[in-house]
Amino acid sequence: MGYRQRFAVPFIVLSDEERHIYRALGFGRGSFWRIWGWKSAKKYVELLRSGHRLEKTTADTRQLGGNAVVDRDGRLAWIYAGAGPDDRPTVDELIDAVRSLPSAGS
Amino acid sequence: MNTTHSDNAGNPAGRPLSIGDPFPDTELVDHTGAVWKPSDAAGEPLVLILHRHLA
Repeated sequence: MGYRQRFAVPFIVLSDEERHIYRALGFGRGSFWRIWGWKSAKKYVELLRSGHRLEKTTADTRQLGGNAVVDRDGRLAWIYAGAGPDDRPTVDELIDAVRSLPSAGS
Repeated sequence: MNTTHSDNAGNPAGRPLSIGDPFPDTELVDHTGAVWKPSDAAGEPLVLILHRHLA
């Protein structure tokens, strides 16, 4: 089952296998202990208990992720670089980042 | 069409993007297998969630 279907994602899911966007945004690699340490292990245990499954991956498990907002003019407007696999902005922070963009026509 | 596939694409200085920098129009593949690039969302805000997870 694809990622989009499994998580019922309502928006476009893109693949960046070569990690061009990750590098453009400066998202590097985490240390082994940051990725596989107690904090991450606790998060994965919580996910397993809530019914999620861990998946085998052939990709770089130490690649850090994050979030970004691009404005209507195609310029980077906001960025959040995750310090670990469990480090993400809140939904409210993400929504605020989008709402802070100048409205269309301004 | 500006398709760049080098590190720090779209930034000749090679540094990561800063706020205000043009976002690279890198071609990616969507969940249907179609090619998509950021300019396809021109005129609308674009939210990127770069997900790295095992679950």
